Amino acid sequence: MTPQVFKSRVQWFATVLMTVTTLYLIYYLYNAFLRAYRFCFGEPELWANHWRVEEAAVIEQSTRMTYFGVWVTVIVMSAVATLAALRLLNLCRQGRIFDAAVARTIQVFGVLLIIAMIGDQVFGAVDLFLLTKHNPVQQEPIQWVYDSADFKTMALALVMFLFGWVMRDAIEIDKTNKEFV
Amino acid sequence: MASSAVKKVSSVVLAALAVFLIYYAYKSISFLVVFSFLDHSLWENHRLVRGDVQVPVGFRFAYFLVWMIPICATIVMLLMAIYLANLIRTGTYFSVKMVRALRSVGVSGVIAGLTIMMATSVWGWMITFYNETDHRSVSFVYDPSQAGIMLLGAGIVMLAWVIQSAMLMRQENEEIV
Repeated sequence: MTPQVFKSRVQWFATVLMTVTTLYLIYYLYNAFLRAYRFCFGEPELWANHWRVEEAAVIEQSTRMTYFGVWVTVIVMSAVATLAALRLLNLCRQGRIFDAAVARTIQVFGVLLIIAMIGDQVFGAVDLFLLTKHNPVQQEPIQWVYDSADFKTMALALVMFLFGWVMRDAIEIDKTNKEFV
Repeated sequence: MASSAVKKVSSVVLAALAVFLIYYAYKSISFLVVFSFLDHSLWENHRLVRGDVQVPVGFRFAYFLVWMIPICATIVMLLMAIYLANLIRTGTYFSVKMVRALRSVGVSGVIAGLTIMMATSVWGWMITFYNETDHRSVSFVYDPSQAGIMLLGAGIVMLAWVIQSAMLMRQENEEIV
């Protein structure tokens, strides 16, 4: 197979993946914001009827706002990482395959994704604490909750970051060699 | 070719991935074995189970298999990620080995995400299969985390093609020279 065939394959695949990722991002933002809003403000009974919340608990507005704020921050961080992925796919779609901008974007995407997953872990840690804060009897402390999906995503993000780094180094060395010649 | 910093970071990443692999395999498999076979009360007293339910061993085994597929796919994904980090650590870049490792990480990531969503979709149906009342049907469960892992896996497969394309270009240039 010639390099041109591979290049056109990458461009085609990047276009398909970009379309799917855009749809994913739109649905993710819509679904996540709607869930957060309904849970915190829109339908107050969702919080009151949560299985960890006691019947006598009265949820303060400030707690609802804090919970919403933390949740939305995590949503935004994930969305920013997805936007970086879209930028990367767009570069590949344009045919800029072995390029310094691509390598840098891969690294940025990896870092943003790791930050988003750390944010999700923080949300997981304060989730039960905020939910049960106004329980008269059983209040949960801030505690780390293991979520394998976050760690799997982080593992893949680390692979992307390392790959981007190696690619950037290779491009720089290639450039130096050409300048030398 | 690449700086020693890349090698150092890849060593740290390798160690972190290895720790996570051990923890993930231990935690997931031990819970699945206990839930499926060792402690029958966990299933029979589950919050979704209604009535005096006795789950046969064959059905428990089917439940075990449904969840073992995504666990195995995740383990393969992590093993290939460790292999890839080791290739970078030892300085084996832009080789056929790296292309294969990247492709394997990506494909197993897609399979892991897909099979977890499938297992989650049949989970309620399986748990309530022997209920006297309140049966749950098979229903598709969308999980954005797993969908994200699938997209990420597909992106990594694409990166494997990027390397392959770069390798072919280099080969072509060398042949011309």
